Amino acid sequence: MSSVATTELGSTGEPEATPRRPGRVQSSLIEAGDLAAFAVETIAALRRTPRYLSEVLRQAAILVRGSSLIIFAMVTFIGMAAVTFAYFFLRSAGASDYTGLFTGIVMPRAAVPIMFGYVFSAKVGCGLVAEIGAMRINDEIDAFEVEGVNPMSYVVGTRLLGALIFIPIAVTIALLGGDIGSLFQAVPVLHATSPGGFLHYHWSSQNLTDNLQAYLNCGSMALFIVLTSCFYGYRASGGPAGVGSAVARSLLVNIVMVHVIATFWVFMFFGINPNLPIGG
Amino acid sequence: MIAAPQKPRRPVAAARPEWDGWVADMPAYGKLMRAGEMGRLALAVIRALFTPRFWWIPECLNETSVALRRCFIPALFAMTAFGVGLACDFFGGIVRLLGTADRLGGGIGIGFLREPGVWVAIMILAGVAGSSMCADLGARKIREELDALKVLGVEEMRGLILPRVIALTLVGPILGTFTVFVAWLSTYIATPIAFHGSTVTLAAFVDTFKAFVSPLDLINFVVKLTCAGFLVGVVCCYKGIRSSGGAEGVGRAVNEAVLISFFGVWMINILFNTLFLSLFPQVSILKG
Amino acid sequence: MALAIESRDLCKRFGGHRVLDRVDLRIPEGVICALMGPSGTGKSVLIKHVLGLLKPDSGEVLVRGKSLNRMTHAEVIAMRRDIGVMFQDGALFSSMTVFENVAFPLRQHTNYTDREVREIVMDHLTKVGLAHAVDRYPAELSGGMKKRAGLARGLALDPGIVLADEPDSGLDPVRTALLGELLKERHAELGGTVVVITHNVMLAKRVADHVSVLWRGKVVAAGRSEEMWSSEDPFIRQFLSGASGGPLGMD
Repeated sequence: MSSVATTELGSTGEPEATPRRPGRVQSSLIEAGDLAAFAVETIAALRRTPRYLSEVLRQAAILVRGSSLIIFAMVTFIGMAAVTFAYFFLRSAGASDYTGLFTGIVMPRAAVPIMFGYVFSAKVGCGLVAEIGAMRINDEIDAFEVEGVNPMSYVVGTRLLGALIFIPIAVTIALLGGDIGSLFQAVPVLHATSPGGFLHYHWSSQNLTDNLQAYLNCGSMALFIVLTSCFYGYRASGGPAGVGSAVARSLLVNIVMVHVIATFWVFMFFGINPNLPIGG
Repeated sequence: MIAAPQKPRRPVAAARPEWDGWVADMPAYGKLMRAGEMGRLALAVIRALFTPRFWWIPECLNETSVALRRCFIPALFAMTAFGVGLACDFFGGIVRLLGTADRLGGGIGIGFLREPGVWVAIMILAGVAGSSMCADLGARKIREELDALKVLGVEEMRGLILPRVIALTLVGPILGTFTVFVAWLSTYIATPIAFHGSTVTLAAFVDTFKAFVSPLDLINFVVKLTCAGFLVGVVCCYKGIRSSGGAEGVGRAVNEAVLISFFGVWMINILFNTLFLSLFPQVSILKG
Repeated sequence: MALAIESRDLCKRFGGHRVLDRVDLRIPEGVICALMGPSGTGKSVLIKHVLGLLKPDSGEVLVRGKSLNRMTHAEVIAMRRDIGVMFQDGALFSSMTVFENVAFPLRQHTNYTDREVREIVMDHLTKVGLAHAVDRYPAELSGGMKKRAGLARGLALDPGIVLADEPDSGLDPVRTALLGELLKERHAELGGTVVVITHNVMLAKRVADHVSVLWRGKVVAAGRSEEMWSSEDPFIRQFLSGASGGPLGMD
């Protein structure tokens, strides 16, 4: 290397051909495709995640500590809402004793999963986007890759497995919260029925299938939310502002999908014939 | 060698009154203080709303249309799925169980007006319109645009906060009406399919529907959604303009804003419904 | 002379914007090289290509004579093990303390016992002047401390190639000088190749044996530093002296 090599300035090469921007529908489809590819990549990367067991447990602990209470609190709200509606509607038909029947059917089948989805996407989902988005903006994701650790395994995989540990706990908390909230609204607040009568109808109108459905429903929602949130966080760009809009975008997708997933499971389990457990 | 240890930068709290030495160290104190600041912001918004300088109105209409355009499609998807699934599957099942299948129309009419239609509307409102508004304000805050506006002499309240809060307050009832209509429409279409061969007919559906849905219910619905929209607007603006702390800051601000809004709108929903139905028991008297 | 890092006809565009336009970068083995250029000319994008974090649209990058395009994933990982990177803002893992950050590459790639890891980490942290801050989290550090911790992490495995992305941005002139000395000392002691990405002429003058200048997505000038500093070329003269008159404008 002996002499200074200089190239001429200002040669911009061939004129820039700006690629056509995809339309709204098209870019949504591309986004959905990217999300699917991300999901496949995550599952492939899960192979290497078990070696980061301590990180998995740490993520699960963060979820248990940070999200249990809010899930419980919000699900009691929906229990109260269901009782408020059922009591006043059934009272008009002179059947307010059957308030427990309504909650027993609606809570595990639809109300708890829906509310679980709302809270999970707001608390866990947005939190993940904000956290992973900040990691992406601060180059931490690149740094993991440079250190020879696949961020798909270490960052996304551990959070997914952590969520898997948390899901059974969370759904149990949510179902309990729904029962307690509806009992609270039905008995001390509205004096709808006696506690014994309420609980009798509440428990006799649900069976194991209903609750199994609730676990599947909430679990699939939670997994979807964690995946989507990691996806939007992972591809955040454009500085701090980009993280904010990634959070908003992920929430849009999650909120819509919560309704779709809830309805999907309801139809899968019960069809349009509600198959209610007590005869009528 | 590089020496000179630096003290880590910690957020410096605002001047505190003297008495609260140990109180201020409690974790709940900060939360309470922020809740108080939100309340103060809400009052300031209301005061500015009625103070006669109305150059913010065009901006407000613009924000309203942006928020509505953001919300319509998600609301449509969410409500159709939910409406068909929940209404036909459970509600239909339960009224049939109690031998009152002819009341399906009325039940769906007031049911969606009181609960699930409102849920979907407020969730979409907070989750889609509120969060993106908060993200936008937070991004401007981080880019120091808000300071630049202040330097240029634009009043923060009328230039930024008021139009956005009022926009969400308007969007609340509009979006709610939309979701409820979608729900009614989707159940109206789905009922003959779901109840094929039973006594539920479309005529009975429409009759009980008309008998049940009362103006009082509609008023409750509009007032509730207006309050919910106002709350979401205040929370999201507050969190947006207070966001700080680099890349994670805006994300965290949006996260907290959404969580507080969700919690708040559910409180509003429960309180309104319980109070309304207890105060006006005539709305649930059978007319069909 | 063997080349540590070489790029041939490297092109990269984001959307309609051409960031790298047929870059021919040559960084010889065993020197401290300053990669200079005004803001926004793709310096950071270039080193992401060297690390294999971005795939080029066309052209190729060679590290120690091996093309990244032809490497398997395992080979890329092995190649990265020998490259220490100091990211622009440190890129510390926010969930770990400073100590754990520096220990992370050692635990991933070596079989040292805990005591050996501790010794090595403390040694590196003492060198960058952070021995008092080992148990702090990145959120509690100032910008300069994050950078130094990031450097310590990059050097933890004693890599043969060190890439430092803007080590001086946000640091005061004295700290910048001390950081330059640190890089120089390490280079004198252990050898290897150091690439310093900067637009700080003072820092480049102080540390570099070799200078490459990047401008509008091209390497427009490269050579030994004494030749560059005494170059007669108007562009190089203007850029390296920071003068306002010359071929460079605000555009």
